[in-house]
Amino acid sequence: MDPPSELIRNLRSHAGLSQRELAKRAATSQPAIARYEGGFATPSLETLQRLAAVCGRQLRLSAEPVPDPHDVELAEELLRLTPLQRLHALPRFARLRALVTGADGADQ
Amino acid sequence: MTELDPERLLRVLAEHQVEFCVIGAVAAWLQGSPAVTVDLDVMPRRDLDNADRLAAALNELGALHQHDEAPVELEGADFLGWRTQRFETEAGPLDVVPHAAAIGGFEDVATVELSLGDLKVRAITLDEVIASKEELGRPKDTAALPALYAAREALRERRKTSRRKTSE
Repeated sequence: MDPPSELIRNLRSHAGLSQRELAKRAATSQPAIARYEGGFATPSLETLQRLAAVCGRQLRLSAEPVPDPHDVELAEELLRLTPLQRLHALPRFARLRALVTGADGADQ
Repeated sequence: MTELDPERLLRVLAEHQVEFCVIGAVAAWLQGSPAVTVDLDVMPRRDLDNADRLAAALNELGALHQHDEAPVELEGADFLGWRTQRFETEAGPLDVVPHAAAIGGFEDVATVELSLGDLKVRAITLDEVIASKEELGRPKDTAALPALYAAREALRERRKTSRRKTSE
């Protein structure tokens, strides 16, 4: 999850606003925005919603399953390859999995 | 079953100018999902000209329909029911999925263009793959989700790192 500091920086950057402009629109002060973005203060959910709204965004909260770190590591390895290298690697990985599991992997 | 040669399948489809996008596990694999597959699923645009091109591509690949014992020369009209059809080809198994319950058809899905060397293909986005698996909810879909979540996490981290580097 992005920390509030990064979320506010991203919101402001997408909206093309300075800290002062954002503060004015959200009826707060520039030092308050600077504290949020620096991670020195944590805005309330209501403040975050207001900041998002004045940047033309809607804040949504959702909960996602936590992915397995080993799967993430493997995904990161794959993403270091070019898409073409990934494509070429697919049959090799499928063969390897078939060897390990004895399954042919159809319809997975 | 012939081992999947996804590059050849995609290349022949592209050479025949078939309008399609890659869906399913290969689309996810190309975007970092660590779940392997042995077949390629493609979603063609549903129109007769495209069906003709698809038939020509499959004929070049020596496609054998799952219900046939020997290859039969395909025609565009063979696809006009726009049902999912499975083929064995010289380059491995290919599923033609003109419409999927959870995501719709070619015109409905969000795609991303991927450069595979000199070949450019469109693949359904990872978020679409995840949304479709979550909605379908069959055991095999649920089983596929952990790898997809992992790929989404890895992609997000990669984009975040890339954004940071750009802003530095």
